Amino acid sequence: MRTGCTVFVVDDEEPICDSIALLLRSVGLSSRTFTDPRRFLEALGPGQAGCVVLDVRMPGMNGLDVQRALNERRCSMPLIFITGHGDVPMAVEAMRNGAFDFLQKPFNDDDLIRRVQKALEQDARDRTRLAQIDETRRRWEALTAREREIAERLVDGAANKVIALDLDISERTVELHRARVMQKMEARSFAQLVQMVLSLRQGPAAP
Amino acid sequence: MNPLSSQAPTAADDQLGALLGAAADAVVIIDERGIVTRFNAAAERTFGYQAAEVIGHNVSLLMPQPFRREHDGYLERYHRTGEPRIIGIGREVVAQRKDGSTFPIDLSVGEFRTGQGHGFVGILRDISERKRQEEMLRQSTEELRLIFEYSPMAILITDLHGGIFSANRACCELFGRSQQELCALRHSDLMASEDRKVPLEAFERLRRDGGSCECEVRYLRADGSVIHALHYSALATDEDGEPVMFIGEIIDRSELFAAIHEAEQLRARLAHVARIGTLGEMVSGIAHEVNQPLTAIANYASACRRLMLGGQGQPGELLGVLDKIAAQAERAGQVIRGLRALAKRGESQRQLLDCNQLVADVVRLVEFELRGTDTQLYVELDSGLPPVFVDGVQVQQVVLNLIRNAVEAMTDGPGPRLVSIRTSVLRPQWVAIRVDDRGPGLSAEQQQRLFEPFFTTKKQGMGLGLSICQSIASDHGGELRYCTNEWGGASFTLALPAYTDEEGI
Repeated sequence: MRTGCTVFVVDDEEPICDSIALLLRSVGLSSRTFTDPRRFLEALGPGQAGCVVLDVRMPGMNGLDVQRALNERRCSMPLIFITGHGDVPMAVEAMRNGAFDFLQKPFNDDDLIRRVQKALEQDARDRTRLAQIDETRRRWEALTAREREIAERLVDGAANKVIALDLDISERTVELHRARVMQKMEARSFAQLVQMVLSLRQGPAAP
Repeated sequence: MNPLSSQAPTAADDQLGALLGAAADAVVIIDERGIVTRFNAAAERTFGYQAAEVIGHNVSLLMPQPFRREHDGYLERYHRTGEPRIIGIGREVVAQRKDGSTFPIDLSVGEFRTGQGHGFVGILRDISERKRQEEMLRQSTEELRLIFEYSPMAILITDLHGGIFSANRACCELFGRSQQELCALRHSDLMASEDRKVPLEAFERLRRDGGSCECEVRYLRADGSVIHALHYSALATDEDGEPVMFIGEIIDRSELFAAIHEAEQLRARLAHVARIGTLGEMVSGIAHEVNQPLTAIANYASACRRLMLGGQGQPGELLGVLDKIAAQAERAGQVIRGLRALAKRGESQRQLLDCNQLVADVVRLVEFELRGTDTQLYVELDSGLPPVFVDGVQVQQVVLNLIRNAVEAMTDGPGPRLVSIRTSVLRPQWVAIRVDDRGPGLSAEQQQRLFEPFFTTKKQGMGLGLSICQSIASDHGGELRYCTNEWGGASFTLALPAYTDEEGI
C-alpha cells in the first residue's frame, strides 16, 4: 500500500470515527480520526497525502467550514462528505465547492471503501501531476530571459522568421535558442514543449 | 191582611215594603196565577222596569222564550200535582230585562198561603258577574292546560314520592312513551340507574326545605337510548304551605353534549395532528440520530466480516467490536422508543412521573436538532421535585413546544442564543417547568392573543401550538403562563399540581 498516505476521518461522533477506521483497516488503509474539526485542522501538515472523510453536520464548525479552511490552505486532498438525511442542500454546496464525492448515511461499506480508494488514486494522480509541474517549472526557471521569450512566442505559434524580425535577430539565432530550450526543458518534441508551457500557464502559479 | 193587595197598605205592608226596599237581592212576589204583586227596588235595577210597569202583569214578562210561554203551564202543573220543581230548591235560570237582553240568575222561590189564597216569593240574584268569572277561570285553566300540554319543554308532574301524575306532550315525545305509560311510572324509573342517587337526594331535600333544584341526569327512552338532560324541579305547595307535588322540567341537552364531546374529540385529534406535525419537523434531527448508530453498526459489521475473511481478526478484538455493535443497536432502539412514545395516540394515560425525567428526555431530543447550530440549552433541574400525576407524553409535548418556540424566537436576533430550562417547586404543592429565551419577547397585543387558536407570529405554522399547550395544562389542573424575563425575552411557565396522597379522597 502507498506509504505516507492517510485517510483523515472527521466526525463529531466517536462511534462513527471508530467504525470507519476499523472498516478502512480491514482493507489495509491507515487512518486518523478526529471528533473535533479544529483539532484536525491543527494536526494537518502541509503537503499531506491522502483524503478526508468529513461529516457535514457537526457542532461548532460544520463540514462546509472545514472545506473552506482547507481550500484557503490550498490543501489538495480530495474530500468525501458524509451526510445525514435532509442534508442534501449542504452536500450540493460542498460539491460546488469542489468536494470529491459524498455519501449518505447509513452507507454501504463497499461504497465507502471504493470512494476512499478512488479519492486516494485521485490524490496520487494530483500529486504526480503537481510534481511534474514543479519539475517543469524548475526547468523553465533555468532558461534565460531571452530563451523564455522565444519559447513563449513559439508556443503561441509564431514562425522563426517572424520572431527574428520582431526581436531584430537572425533567423539562425532563433533556431539556436529553440534547440537550447528543447534541450533544457527535456522536451522530446515541439508538441511536448507546447504541453509543458501550457501546463505551467494553467497550473498553480502560472508563468 | 192581604199581602197580595197592592192598595191600602197596612203596618205589616209597610214593614214588608221597607224590607223589600232594603233587600240587596231582587224580590218579586206573584199570586197564584202568576201576576206580579210586589216588585222591589233591587228588581227595578236588575230588570230595568219600574214597579208600576210590572205589577199586575204576568211574571212571565221577566222571562225570555220559551220560559215565558211555558210559565203558566208550570204554575198549573204545580197546582194540579203539588209537586215542586223549584220551590225550596232554587236553580239557575235565565231572565230577560226590559230592553230584551237576557242574563243568568240564581232563583229561589218560596210559597206562602193566606186566607185569601196563596202566592210565591221569588228572590233572584244577577249572576252574570259570577258566570263571567267562572268562564274566565275556566278559560285561564284551559290556557294553562294548553300551555302545559303544548309547551316545547318536557314537563313532568309527580307526587311527593315521585309517582308521575301528568306528563305533557313534549315529555311523552322525549321519552317515546304515552301519557298512560308515564303515569304508571315513577320519575326515577326514567333515569339511568347509576344516575338516580343525586336527583333522589335532591328531591328529598326539596320536599324538606322547599324551593327548587337542578341536576344533570341521564334518562333512558323507551327504546333504551340515552338522553343527556338537565332537570329542574320545584316543589308546589297548597295555601297552607304543605307540599303537594313536584313540577319538573327536563331539558334535553344530548345535542349540546354531543357537540361538547365532538369538540373534545376534535381537540384530541388536533393535538395529535400537532404532535405529528412537530414530529415531522423533527424528522431530520431524529433521522440523523438514528442514522448515527446504524452507520456505526454497518461499518463495524462489515469491518468484522472483512477482518475475518482476511484471517486478520483476533477473537478478542472481534468480540470488542461486537460489543460496540450491541451498544449502538441499543442506542438506536432508545431513539425509536422515544419516537414511538411521542407519536402514540389514544387516551390520556396518567401516571406518577418525575418532571425532571420528562424534561431531560425532551432536552435530549432537542439537542439532536440543535446540533450544528449555535443555539445552546441551559438546563437546571431541581432535585427536590415532588412527583406529578400526568400524561407524560402530553407534558413533554408542551415542553417541546416551548423549547422549539424559544429557539425560533432567537433565529433572527443578534444572540446570544441561549434557552434556559428550569424545574422548580413553585409554592407548596406545585411543580414548575420554566422555559426562557433571549429573543425579543412579545408585544402587548401578542401577549393578549397568545393562547388563541390560529393566532401565530410565524410565517409557517398553524398557531395551534400554544393553545393546545394551554389546554393540556388545564386538563392537568395546571396552568401555562407568559411573562417577559429579565433579558426582555419570552418566559413560559408550565405549573402542574404536585401529587399528594390525599388526592381523590
